[in-house]
Amino acid sequence: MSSEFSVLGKSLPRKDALEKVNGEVKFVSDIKLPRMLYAKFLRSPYAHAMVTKIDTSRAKALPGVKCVLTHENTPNVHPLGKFEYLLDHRMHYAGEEVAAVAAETEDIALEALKLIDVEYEVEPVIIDPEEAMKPDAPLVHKEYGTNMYYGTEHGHAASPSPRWRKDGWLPLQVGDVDKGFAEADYIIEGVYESPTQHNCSPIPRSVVCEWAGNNLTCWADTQIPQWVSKDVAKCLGIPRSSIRVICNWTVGSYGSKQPEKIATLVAIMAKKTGRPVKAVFTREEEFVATHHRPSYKGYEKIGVKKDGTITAMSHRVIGNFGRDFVWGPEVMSASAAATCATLYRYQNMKFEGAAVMTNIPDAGAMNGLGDPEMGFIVERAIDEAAEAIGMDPVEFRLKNCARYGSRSVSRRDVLGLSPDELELRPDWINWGIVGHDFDSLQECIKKVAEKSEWKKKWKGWKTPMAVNGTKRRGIGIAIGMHMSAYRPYSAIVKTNQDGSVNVMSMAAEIGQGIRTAMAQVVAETLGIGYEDVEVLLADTTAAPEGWGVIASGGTSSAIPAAWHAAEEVRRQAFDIAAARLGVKPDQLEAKDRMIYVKNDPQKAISFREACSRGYQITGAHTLPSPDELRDEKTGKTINVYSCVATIAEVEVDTETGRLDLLRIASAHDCGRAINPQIVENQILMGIIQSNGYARAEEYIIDKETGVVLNPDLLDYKLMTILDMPKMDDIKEIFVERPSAWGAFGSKGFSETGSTSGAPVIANAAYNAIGVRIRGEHITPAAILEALGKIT
Amino acid sequence: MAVAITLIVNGEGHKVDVEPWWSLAYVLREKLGLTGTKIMCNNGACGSCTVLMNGQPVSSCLKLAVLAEGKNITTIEGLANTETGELHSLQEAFIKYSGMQCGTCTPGMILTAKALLDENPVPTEDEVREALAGNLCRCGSYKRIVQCVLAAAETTRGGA
Amino acid sequence: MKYLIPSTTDEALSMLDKYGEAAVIVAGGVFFTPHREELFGEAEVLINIGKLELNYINVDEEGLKIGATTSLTSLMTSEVISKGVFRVLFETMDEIPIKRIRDMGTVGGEVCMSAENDLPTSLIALDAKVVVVSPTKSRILPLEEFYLGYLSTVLESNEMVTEIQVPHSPPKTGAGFCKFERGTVDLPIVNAAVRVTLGPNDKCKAAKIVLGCVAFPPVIAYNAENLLIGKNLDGKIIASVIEAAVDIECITDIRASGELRKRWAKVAVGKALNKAYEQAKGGK
Repeated sequence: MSSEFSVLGKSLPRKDALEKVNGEVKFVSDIKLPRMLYAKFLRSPYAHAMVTKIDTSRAKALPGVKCVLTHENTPNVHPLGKFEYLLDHRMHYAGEEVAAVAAETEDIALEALKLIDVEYEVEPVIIDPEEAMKPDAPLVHKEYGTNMYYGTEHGHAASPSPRWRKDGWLPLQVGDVDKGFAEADYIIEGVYESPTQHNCSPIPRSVVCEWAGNNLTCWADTQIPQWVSKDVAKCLGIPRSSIRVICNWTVGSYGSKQPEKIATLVAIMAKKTGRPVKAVFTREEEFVATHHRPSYKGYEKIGVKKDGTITAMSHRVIGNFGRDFVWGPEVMSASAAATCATLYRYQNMKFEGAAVMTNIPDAGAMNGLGDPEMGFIVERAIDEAAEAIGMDPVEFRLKNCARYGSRSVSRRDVLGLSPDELELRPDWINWGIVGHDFDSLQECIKKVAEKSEWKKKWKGWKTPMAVNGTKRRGIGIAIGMHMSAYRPYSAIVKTNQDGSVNVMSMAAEIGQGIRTAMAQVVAETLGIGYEDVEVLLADTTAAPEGWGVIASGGTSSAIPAAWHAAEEVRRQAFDIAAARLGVKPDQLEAKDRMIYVKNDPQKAISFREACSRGYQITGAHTLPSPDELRDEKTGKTINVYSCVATIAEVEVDTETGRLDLLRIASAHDCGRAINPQIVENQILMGIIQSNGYARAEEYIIDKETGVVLNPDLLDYKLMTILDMPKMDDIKEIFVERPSAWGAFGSKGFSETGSTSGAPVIANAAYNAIGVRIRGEHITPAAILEALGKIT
Repeated sequence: MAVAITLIVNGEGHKVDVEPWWSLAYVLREKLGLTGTKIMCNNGACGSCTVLMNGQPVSSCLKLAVLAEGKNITTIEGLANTETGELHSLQEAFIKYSGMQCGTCTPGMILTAKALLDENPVPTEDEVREALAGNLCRCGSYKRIVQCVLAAAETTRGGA
Repeated sequence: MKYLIPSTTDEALSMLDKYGEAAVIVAGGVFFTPHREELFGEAEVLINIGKLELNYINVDEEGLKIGATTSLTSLMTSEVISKGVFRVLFETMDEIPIKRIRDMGTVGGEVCMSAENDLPTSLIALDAKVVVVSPTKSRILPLEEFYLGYLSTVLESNEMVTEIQVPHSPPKTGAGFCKFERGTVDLPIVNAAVRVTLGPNDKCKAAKIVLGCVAFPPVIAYNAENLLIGKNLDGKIIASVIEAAVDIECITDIRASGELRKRWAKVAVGKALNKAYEQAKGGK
């Protein structure tokens, strides 16, 4: 594959590698400006309370304190359209901001927080989502009238959801599940739980704001500079053109970095004091005052025939979205569309999802957005269904997984929106099919089974791989899928007169390698060197419109935009070269920094010469609204997804409950690998994070008070190097089926890797110990409980 | 009450006034402007803030600045050869084999690995894993990081 | 906050006498920074005892004498604990997975921190004593009497620990340590240290069974110890000893339930006992 390309498909060193290994990389939290003030936030100790009195006089009087904000002196605006005000007088979760202080040093700011006197009237707290659904439950937002999201646009920034029912359930249905269950030979039924998980960004988020006259520069550690720009503009009542959001690095956000509220508060304090202001979250704030993955409780029912046909699947899911449901529609619709409606072929299907508000910190996007949560539920139930009919779980998945032509739907369809979200479609769903580029599940399953030696190692249901004293070994499989956002995005590619090129894009470098991949695509398109291309990312003044990076959209949206913009530059360069060489542009080719005539390569000019002759060659491109991507053969809508199949071997010590991951292999559908080492790193990320999800990451919230009890890395356990197998025991398999619309066939796939890792651990543990764990985690406590050794 | 101390960082002496409770990480970053050392957890659990003190890895977020006086401190900025600009073999390896994603754990990983290779130039994979046990990588690049360290060891051996 | 660096123990003690509760002693400083707000918010004086020459490991006819500011790594790599009964101290520290922490931590710091750690459990099993000095007096007490509860010791505000003493053991003595944590790198959730001395026919003559982190202060399982005396350690005896040792209330917190701790404590006691027994049998 890579031999046909000069730059694409090669593991070239990352564009940001040098500065990351020599200490030069400057994250937002590293920025220091002259006369800069430091901001800190006072946070509510109560999950639900009214602020009845707030006195900042002692804080203001502390030498070095320059500004104190409370709900009394900030605008009554709703950041991100959420229910809460910028600084509210009502607290909805333990940790919500009560006040903000800007001072000469961090120490003084922290001291000032202690001098703010607040009186709270504590209100009843609701934590459990099923309790919150009851009619007499305390309300998180009184004005909404219920804790169950019902699709109204009131207050929130999420997509409108015309199909969300007024009774609080999002429905999706195919056929008649009652009929399907009646026809089944076996029925699996049960309650499965997926836990919360915290994004745990390596660098806590930060924002620096500085005004120059009426112009604001806001350096923000954010995934979506567009939202920061829009939101700060809206809250301050100024045009977006006056705000420059620069996101030099979004450090390891994994879906969570949305510092809009903080950005607005810091901007206000910078304006009031006439000085730059910086806010850096502590690790504790990063745990408490940002969003995390929602927990799900799934009532699952699957009907199967002896021959393995799935006659019916029924999913009833309750998600705990914390104190605001901004992300509820996004996450729940993704779960419905992908894992529930598309991942498997079935005769009948019913889905109902509820997004419930409670007095805990917000839940929202974390790698996988709804598919890891749903996958952990469905893939355990599917495994039980395969067992019920005595079928090999690999065979069962091969038989039933999605393939070209099987049913597919997008989460926008599920919500009742057109692809561009401008049209409401409450009454019909545009069911599409799985297209050729997503027809990879069978290949993924076959390849991972082969690489893991499944046939040799799996000894059958209720038979562990090996038993050695108290230690038992097991092997299991799980598959998963997730969307990849192909949506409007812009890019500009401009040449410099020396033949080097700059790209401007609103994509943000999280660590996923987009700067590198984008440069490779542009260099390949123009036939120039990788080292000749530099990418400017995430600057709302210098880069054209784009949302940032989310939903694996970097490679699916931002990069194709840059690709097409580069093609435009190539066209213009060819026009110049053609005139110079006395040929037609279509006779030309570009490679090795030269533009030459295809059948007379000696007749050529350098790309550099074309650039200097052209004075300025600029290509711009905006990806159109996808309207629908269509299958060439049938004309049916195809939706953009990617998939994964994973097999893991574990060893469980039945005496202590300890689980060790011995081997893991994962086959990923990645379109076309632009940079294999980067692809591998993204696969590794999915494996590690989903292992943590199942095995160790417990976000512990007190059931009475709603307080987060373990907001630090000592007690929120991330996977260490020793928790993962050795190098040779981790196998990444690339399955490349070029997409029709991505740059050189590539597509975004990173989040997909987070969908299979948790259920594969559960299924492998089952093979080892013979007892199913349907609860939230596969921890030693859960294993010992399943074995009846503790209660 | 500020205390006047001298910190020797990357071969240079720096006079700085510090509060007794300030960590070395805070002083390096905020007072000396050496922001290459990153703070991830601020309580010793993650290893991202690791610097070398007299050649040994230290959690700079735990180490009080006042207790670091008189020791030779090496931060990530001081790893390359200051005269020639030549990168350390570990830095080369991390670039060549993509040993990072977001970059937060990278300085800590490299410095911890340097201490390992200085003591044990031919480590096994198990020894590398043990040495890096206290360094967390949320992006999950452990496998590639181990590859980088072993490659760096190989290069040094080959070149020596 | 004042910062003071005494040169002698007397100087340090007079500082403690002067500032009392407002003073905090640091040597390695592992514990101070992350807990400054919640535990040391009232501190006005920081006293660095690094210059007091308490960094030593001596052996005499009584046993080991370890200075309070000796780092865990120094102790761990010292010849004197590389074999014999003292080797259990090496094994204890070997299980602290992060070398940076072992380098920074001190024996005195570990001993004074009545919280989730490993060294005190093993030291108590070896009948260690702690030397506590004040401006007016010096006392030596068994380490198990040093602890009152979580983050609470008998230290008065004008006292400090200067030395830990570990007596030699009689022949045919062995010791073992075992701990459990969540995952691979963590604070200990449960640990156990056992010392046994065998008499003629390998019958147990003396035993000490210590459980750490299941409760504070560390628990000495006297009932379980008594079951061992005069017996050979066969499977049945070991099982009853383990049952007796964990017949206690284990704490439940966000890290683990009491039940899980008890389960792990059972396994830990069993493993530590077997290690001790094997070593004792092999000894002269």
